[in-house]
Amino acid sequence: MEFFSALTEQTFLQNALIAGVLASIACGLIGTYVVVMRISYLAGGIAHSVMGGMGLAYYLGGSPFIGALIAAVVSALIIGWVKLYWQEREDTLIGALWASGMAIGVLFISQTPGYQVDLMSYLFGNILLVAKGDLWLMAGMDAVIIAAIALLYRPFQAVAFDAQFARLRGLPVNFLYLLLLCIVALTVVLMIQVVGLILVIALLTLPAAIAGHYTKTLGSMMALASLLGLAFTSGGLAISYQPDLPAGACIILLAAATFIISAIVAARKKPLETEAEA
Amino acid sequence: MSLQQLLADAVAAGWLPEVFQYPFVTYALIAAVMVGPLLGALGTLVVVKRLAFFSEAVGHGALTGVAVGILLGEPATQPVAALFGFCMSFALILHWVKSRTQVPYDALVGVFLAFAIALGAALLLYVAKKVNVHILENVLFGSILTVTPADLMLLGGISVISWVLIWRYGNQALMSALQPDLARVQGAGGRKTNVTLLDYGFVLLIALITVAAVKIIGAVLVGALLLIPATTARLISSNLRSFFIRTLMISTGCCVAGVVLPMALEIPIPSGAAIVLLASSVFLLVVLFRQLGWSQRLA
Repeated sequence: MEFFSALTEQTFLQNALIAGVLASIACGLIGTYVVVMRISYLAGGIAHSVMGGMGLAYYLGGSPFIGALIAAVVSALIIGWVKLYWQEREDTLIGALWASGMAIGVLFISQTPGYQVDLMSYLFGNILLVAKGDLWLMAGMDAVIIAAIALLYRPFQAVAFDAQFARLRGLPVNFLYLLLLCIVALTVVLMIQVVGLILVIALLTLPAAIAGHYTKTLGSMMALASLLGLAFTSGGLAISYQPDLPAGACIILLAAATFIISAIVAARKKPLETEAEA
Repeated sequence: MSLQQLLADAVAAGWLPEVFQYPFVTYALIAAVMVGPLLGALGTLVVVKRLAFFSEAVGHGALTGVAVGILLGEPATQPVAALFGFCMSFALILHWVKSRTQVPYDALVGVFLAFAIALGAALLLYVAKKVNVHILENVLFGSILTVTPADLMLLGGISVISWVLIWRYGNQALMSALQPDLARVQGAGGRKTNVTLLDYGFVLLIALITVAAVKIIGAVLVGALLLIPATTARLISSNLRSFFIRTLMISTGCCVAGVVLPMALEIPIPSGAAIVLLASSVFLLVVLFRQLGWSQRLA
């Protein structure tokens, strides 16, 4: 219970909690698309290639956050282009981008003079170091994500479930797909603040995958996934506080444990049915 | 070691650059020469079978293996038993669940990956308080400094086993990858092909080689070296034989150059990063050349 008394006093804990809330909104909304469209490998590729942008920004003395944002959008566009026009090589090219981004990041960080402890906080996140300014940035990105989904909920749904039919009905499918990938990129950058880039893919997929066990529509899946994300980030933060464990890892472990329990329960409930489609 | 003596003499005679007088350089080079072709050979199958995400996941699993090993009290630089144990069981369980569930493959691998890295990150950051933080970096991105003679023996053993398996079953595996139904019915080389068994064997082999390569390439980057050389070679090859041989050449070349170049140019980057960057540059060059219409001459 020391966590709660500390929460009322320590600003950094309050900031961390707010960051968790902001990240879980995005992870619920976008994670649902990622799970439904089966693009977690794509999201992983974006997350890892972000390292290249962070490293470059760090080397040039700029803000790693901006570098991450640019790298994420660029890699989302590359991946989207490959997916749309060069599909037979899709998975290997994502793998290549995944590793090259990391390698470039490591190269630049190693070339930057000074102590390189930042590398670990990029990789595994440090929610306790989130500053007030970052919170505003995160809130702004959340607003963009929510606005995009509110405006384009139905078109996105059409692209996610039946792209061919959507194309037939005259929707700009390729544009919508690329836009969605850019929003995924935005979400990835937002979540790197909280759990670090290696764990982003976990926070993106686990809450939505759990929510998929219990919901039937895209909207309810998003809502449940966001709530779960909220529970995991706050819960993980609280668990990690007292024994001084890494917060990002605790958040993901909590999510993974919940997923396993949920998967077993769901499998018992309907042994022969396929997984929830939504 | 006599090879070491030979190299030292060559350095003294002025045939080789000075870096070769250090034993760790020799070890790293031997490791690169062994790991490169193996990754290439398996990479051809990984690319054909579209197991890219799977091999990334197994690579990240190595992170957890190292953490478990250190936690169980194995030496921090060499948690061999836990590393092999964890990665191979990770690959086996993932493959087993895959054949028994309706969950989409992408989501399944994603969840497994998420779980493994969460566990790995939690444990690693926990043990990192006890051991040097740089061990973490070595595990993630590889380091040639950590290769020991014992590693080389292990790597040699793994190489022998893998090559025997590839030589004996490679054709069948390729056939079952390209035409699973045909392979099941007809079999390659007159024998009935047990596709399920081959799949399990292949998955285990990927795990084995991933772990073997972690030392010099690193857990995060090892997956890429299974993919990039094979993808590159596929662009410039017209038949399976040249595809296989070119993959081997590219991956071995990148591994060796990735070990030597940073040292020769005195750039302090992890060997894994150098190897992957080289491989991606080769890939980009090939794509460019192809766009310029040079593919006819290369093929």
